[in-house]
Amino acid sequence: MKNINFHNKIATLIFSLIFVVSCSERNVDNLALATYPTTPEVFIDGFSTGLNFSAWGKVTNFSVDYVEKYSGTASMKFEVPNFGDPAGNAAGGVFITSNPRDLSSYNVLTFWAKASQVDTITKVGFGSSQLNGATDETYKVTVNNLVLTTTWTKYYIPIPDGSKLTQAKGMFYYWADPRDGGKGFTFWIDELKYENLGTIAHASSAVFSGKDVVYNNVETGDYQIPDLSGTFNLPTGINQSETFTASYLTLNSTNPGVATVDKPGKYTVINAGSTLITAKLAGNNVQGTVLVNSIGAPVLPTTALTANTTAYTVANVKSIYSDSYTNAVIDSYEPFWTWTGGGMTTNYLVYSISGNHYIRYTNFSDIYNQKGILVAISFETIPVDISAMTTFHMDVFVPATSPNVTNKPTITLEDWSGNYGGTNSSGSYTSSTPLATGSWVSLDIPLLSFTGLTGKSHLVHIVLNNFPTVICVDNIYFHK
Amino acid sequence: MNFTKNNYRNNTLLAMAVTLVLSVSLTGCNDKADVQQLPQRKYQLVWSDEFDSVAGASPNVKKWSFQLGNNNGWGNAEYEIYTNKTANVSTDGSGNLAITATKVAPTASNPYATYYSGRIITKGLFTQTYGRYEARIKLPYGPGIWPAFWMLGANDSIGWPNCGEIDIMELNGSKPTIINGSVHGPGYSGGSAITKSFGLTNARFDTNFHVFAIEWGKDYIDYFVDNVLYEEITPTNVTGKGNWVFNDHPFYILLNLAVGGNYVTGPSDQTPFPQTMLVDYVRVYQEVK
Repeated sequence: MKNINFHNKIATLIFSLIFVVSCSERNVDNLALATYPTTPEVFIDGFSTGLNFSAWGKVTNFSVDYVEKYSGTASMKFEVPNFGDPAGNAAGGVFITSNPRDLSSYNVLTFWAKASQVDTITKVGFGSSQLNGATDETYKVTVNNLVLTTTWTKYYIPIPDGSKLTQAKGMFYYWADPRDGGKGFTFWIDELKYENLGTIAHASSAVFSGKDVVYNNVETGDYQIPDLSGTFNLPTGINQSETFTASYLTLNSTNPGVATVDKPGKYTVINAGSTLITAKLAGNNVQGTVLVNSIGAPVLPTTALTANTTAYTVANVKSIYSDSYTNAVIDSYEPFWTWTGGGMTTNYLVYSISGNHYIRYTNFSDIYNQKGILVAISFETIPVDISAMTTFHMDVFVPATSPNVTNKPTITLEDWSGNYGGTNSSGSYTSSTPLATGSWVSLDIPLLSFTGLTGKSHLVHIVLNNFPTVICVDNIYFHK
Repeated sequence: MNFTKNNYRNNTLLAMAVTLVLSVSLTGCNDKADVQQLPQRKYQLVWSDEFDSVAGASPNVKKWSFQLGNNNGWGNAEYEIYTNKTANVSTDGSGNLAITATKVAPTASNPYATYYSGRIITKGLFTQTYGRYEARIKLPYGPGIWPAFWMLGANDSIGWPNCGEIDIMELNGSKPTIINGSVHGPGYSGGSAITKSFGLTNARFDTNFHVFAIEWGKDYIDYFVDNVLYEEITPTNVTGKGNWVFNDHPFYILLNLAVGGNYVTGPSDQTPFPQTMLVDYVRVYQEVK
């Protein structure tokens, strides 16, 4: 089992305090058709028109400083808290304009910055707008681990392709953690604005880490291309890398009858056949391609399985997912989990046959090279007590067309009794054989086989790992 | 005996910095009209290398010779080791000479990166007194990168800087928008050289070719970028400093790409390698009276 850390985006959202600093509503009647202001200034000595701020982490981390500044009368001051600050462990925020701007005539976001000590802003960029619960990160750009010094210095965040930014809202965002050892620091940013500089040069970028990827037996549907890394040479002669979304790419499909490329950063498989997806960025070739070999429409089971309620009566079952029992309250069928060097990319859909529902997981855009399904079913809010149960049951259908059908899957059960006065534990069971394909397979696994699972009173996750690329699952329950 | 450029002493670094700042502030488009007053000069091509050989060929031995090694940092604490390998100096098959600086990453046994590059000269093969000297070059970039198109007095056995040095173009890769034109001589060498910068407005010297030239005659050296005169150095500039050593003796031509050194400091982790100085041609003219 990989060492998975839970990255709770929802919690971050809940704890975000949104306060509008200045928001002048514009009369929509006065807007010319499909043209937007080209205002380059974000913060010079104050908020530019229509700019709003929303904090992440410690909500009071940002203020306007009228004493310390690079030029003019004010700068933006950001206070990164010490580790363990009860008000928040980091400083972050987004600056969003309520009036979209046309940034297509610019090629770089620039600012002057200094810090109270030589230190690092973990993430800084633009294209993230997260306001009033709605998130749009279609055109997000991030420079990771930007090092600031104690003297005012100009920094640059190149726009991969300005022509895509005709209605930009996310003007700036940042996230800064305390440094190693947990000490906070303060940094200032001034003269934050978009520019068109002829001194940004030698752009190069790669998708799929510059590799030529082959995806076989791909089904019809939308497939997101993962974020890219790009390098730009700055006016100071140094190369700076940044990550940005595939929405900046101009995609091409050699066989548009198999896949189209009409959606930002995605290709849409519409028919069986083969097509090569290539990408350009602002007219330049991008390293890395994906060859899609599609089988057409998804292969679905023709029948559904109903739980054997005669053998396993309601009284002897704790159900997670089944039409035959009362189920646990599921928080997520696909929580967003990350770990060092990766994250989950599995997708799911719920299908039904004559009212009998099942979950279908796919992972064709296997950008973290998991070679199959890695996903968790999470019910943390109301943990399930399986102390009295003896066996884990799950029905699985693997289409014969699924890639990675020879995987020997692992199921992990995780218990959080530690939150309730006990001890956390988890146990895994790995199948000694691959799953049969083309028909429903019923797994009945004794809980004793989940080596390491000591507490069973507060089960919170069922983790499916190393399953084939396409699986249907149903009737997930514990029985005795 | 080895002759080196910009033989700085430790206490001249500050002077160099001040010189650069002044130079930048003096350069601008506005004074172009003021300095663009030149007497008509008629030139005839007498020597050139168009670098039209096939890809991967070494430079013509009848026109160029190599200077090799590190030579104690060539007097400037430079990092590079010059080689005669085609990986470092060769024609590119598209009409250019490529002088390429390469980096070998540190290893367990050698904790420092090693840099290889190229330096070719016309000494003993072609020298000339006065005339127009021009090269069309696309420059490399990045901190620690130091390309140059320059000349030394062929009488260098008398020692540097007495032999004289004319830097037609040199660039500090951390300022890819600016080149410098300079002379070094007795009393005005290293950080005290007579120098001036030429900067592009919102553009860089490493994204396109540019023509760097001097027109040199008795008591004057005129500096051009893309046929724009940006500097004239005459004996007046060295009055009170030392002798004018640019009259009545021949000079030879050098092309090189240095890495590191006092002029540019060392390369950083964010300096991309390899770096290539692409030279489309070098042409030398004599004035026709």
